[in-house]
Amino acid sequence: MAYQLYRNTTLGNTLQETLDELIQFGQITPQLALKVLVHFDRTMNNSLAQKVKNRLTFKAGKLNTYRFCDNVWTFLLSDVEFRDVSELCKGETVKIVACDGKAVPPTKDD
Amino acid sequence: MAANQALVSKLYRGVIEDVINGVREAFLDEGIDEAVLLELKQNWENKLQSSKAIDPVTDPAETSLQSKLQQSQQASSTAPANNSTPQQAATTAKQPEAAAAAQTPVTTPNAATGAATTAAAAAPATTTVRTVPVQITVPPQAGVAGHTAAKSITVHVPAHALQGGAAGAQLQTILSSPAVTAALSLPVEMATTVLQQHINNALQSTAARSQSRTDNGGVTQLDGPGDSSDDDDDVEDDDDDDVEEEDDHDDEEIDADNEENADEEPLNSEDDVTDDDPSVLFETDNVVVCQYDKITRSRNRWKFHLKDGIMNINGRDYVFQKANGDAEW
Repeated sequence: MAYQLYRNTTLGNTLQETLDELIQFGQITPQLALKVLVHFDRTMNNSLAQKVKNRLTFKAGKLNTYRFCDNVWTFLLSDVEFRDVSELCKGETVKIVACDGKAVPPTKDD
Repeated sequence: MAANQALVSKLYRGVIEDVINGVREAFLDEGIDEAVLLELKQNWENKLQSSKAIDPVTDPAETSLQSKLQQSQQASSTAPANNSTPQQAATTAKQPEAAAAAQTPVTTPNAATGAATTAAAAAPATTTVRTVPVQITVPPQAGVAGHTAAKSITVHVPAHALQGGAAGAQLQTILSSPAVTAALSLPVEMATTVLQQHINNALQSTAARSQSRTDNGGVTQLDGPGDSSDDDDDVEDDDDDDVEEEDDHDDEEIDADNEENADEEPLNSEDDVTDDDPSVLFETDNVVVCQYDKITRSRNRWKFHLKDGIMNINGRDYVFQKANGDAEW
């Protein structure tokens, strides 16, 4: 199984919303929705590992808070600049949630 | 990041396809129709496009669907706007009518201090806060500089203060206190603001006091919400001056502390720099979801080595294979 980390992304949230709507209308069961999400986790992790090739750097004005709990780092930075080769984008406050890249994610019993 | 955007779109399409194909079997196992699966895919893609995090799809069927969605969204957004404006016009029309309506004169007892008659207006029915504009007419006072003509000050008083015997008497006591009469001699605008504040504070503290009284089963609580130390001290000080002069210094020091604390609370709370981005586009929490290779720190300099991440910055989505960063704590 893979990290459920990517469920809180645009893609993940839209999927969860859609699944919730279908459950509300009674068109699918919650168990099926869970299976879809698990499949999504796996696909997401694989795609990011294999299909994405770009690197970027970032520089933050300030690190406001840092937290390391259950092997998950959460950072709050302010005044951040992201640079992708020639392109730049800026954010006033950015939250970074990072799971361990080297660990084996916990297995889930469905 | 434009090139990145195309990459993101492609990646998302790929993920959607993979997921849909992967769960098709699960759907069939549960005996659920393929149509539901297609609906899932459609809704998922529609939400993605309406979130504006990535570029829209160029598929002609989907663009026609998209334009229909936009038209229906615009139609529905104008409808609530039309509903709210007539309501607002109605409430503003009612208030001037209420002000011009019948008045209940309230007599004030103290001719010595020169306080005036108050004219109350009927309360408007629509507002929930129910403040009533009260006009205080101050007759000309001999011996007060710059005060040759009668002037009227309008303050807003909660409606409940004007109704009922106890509340009405309370209002009169507030209005007849020495601080208020001192304020009446100020120019009109200053007098209005001072009086308004005084009334608000006094009414709030008494309201809190009466509330806390009923909650305690008969035992009166004078501290906490019922504490009237801060602003009413101005009034009490005047009384204390007459009685004991020694205590004045102590009281003034305590008052100074209280006032400083009251000022410091708002001052200190201004130390918190919270960024409020008013622009609607920036409503999003800029989030990066990723995995970390290495996080290091040297004194207060942090270095981040991240990988496999998805970012949502200023409403737009980006992805990266690796990201390196620096920050100072």
